[in-house]
Amino acid sequence: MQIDLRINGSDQSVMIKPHESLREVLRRIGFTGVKKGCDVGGCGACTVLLNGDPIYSCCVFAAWAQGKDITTIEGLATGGELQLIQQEFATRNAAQCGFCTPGLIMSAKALLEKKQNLTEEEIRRGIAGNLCRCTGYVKVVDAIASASKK
Amino acid sequence: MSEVYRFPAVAFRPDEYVRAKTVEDVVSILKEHGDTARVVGAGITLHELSVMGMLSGVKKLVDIQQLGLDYIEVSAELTKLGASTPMFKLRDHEVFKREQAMRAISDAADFVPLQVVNAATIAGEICAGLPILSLPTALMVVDAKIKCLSWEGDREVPLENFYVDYFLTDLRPEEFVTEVRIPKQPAKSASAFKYEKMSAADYPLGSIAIRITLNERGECQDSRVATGSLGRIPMRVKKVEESLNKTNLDSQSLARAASLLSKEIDPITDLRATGDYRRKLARSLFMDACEMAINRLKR
Repeated sequence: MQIDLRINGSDQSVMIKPHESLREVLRRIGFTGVKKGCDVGGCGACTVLLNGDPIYSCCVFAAWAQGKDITTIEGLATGGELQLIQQEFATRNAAQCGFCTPGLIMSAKALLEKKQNLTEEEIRRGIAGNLCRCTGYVKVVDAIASASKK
Repeated sequence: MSEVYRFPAVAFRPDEYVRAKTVEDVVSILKEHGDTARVVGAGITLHELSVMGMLSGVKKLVDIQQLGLDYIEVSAELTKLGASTPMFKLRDHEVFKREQAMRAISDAADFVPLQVVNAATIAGEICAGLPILSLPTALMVVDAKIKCLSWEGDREVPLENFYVDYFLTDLRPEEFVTEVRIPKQPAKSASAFKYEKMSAADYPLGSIAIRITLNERGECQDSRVATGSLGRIPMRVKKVEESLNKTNLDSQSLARAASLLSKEIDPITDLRATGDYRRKLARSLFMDACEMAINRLKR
């Protein structure tokens, strides 16, 4: 079946199978910043924003996402210029292997859009659905806290 | 490089994804296809069940986003929740923060990960038939009923009678849930919901919802206590309720009720915890939920 998705501000017509998840389709058409992790809504590596709110793209149907604004990690930097939250992750070494980083940044982006001067508790709650097995979250929390003060 | 996808033992391969425009569209599809069609909320539970190989017979997915079932309507006698209403709207709605008797609902919808709260729908949480989801437990203590619609008409089912066994509900193959109805709550009532889980993205090890109603002397006139993740279905524990009624909710009464609770539930042992551990956890969650509800009664 053919569906129309609005991804990072651009409309795309995509051929999909009815059972395909949004994660599968996004990766197939080139948005490989959307990572395949557990694939059952447990790790957050596939996090994208849907109408500005984070969701697990692995466990919603691609067809269900038609008509919604989808933002992936590829939609953040413009003209090679990183967004503030990406810069903070880079300068504060908030990534180690990097696999969870796109998902964490998308969750952080949604948090920062809603509120500035986030407390540590708010940040930890906001990224609770994103697993990182390398860094232990301290630098991730620091990066988001720093971005929320700017 | 193409991705390697590990197919489940029994593949989920529906032929068609239909965007229903009207309630009649859904009724007609379910009449024709029965159990081989599935209504899609956001699809989160369907996805999980499909990975387990449990939906191989499903040939048609029916999307109900365009039916206008995303609403919360509050009146003096009834609160109505549309089937497609996402969980975050329950968490954020003023009525579930203001009305102490319905606080258990916002407690149950206020969980992490946010990625699930932002997409999961009310009917999805109810129809999954999983004892581990929070919302059914919380809705039971406010006497919620669900409206099930089919070509034969609609019927209202008390949520406490909806669950039959693990993954098995009273929803018939030709029916779908359109609405949840919460009656006017008794005066001098407060409710609370408590759960415990091992990590943010994991399912709860156990959950308890409670609603307490006081009489004019400040004694417990009536109560509702429901459990989640502590047996094969989310359910009310009526012996516990009876033991709370007509007490003044002192520590002895609560301890006696907690002791009955651990006898009335039948929690499973799995990789997360043993059944014995869950029984102990249930007592602790019960005491915490009681304390929360009692404190809310003072407001």
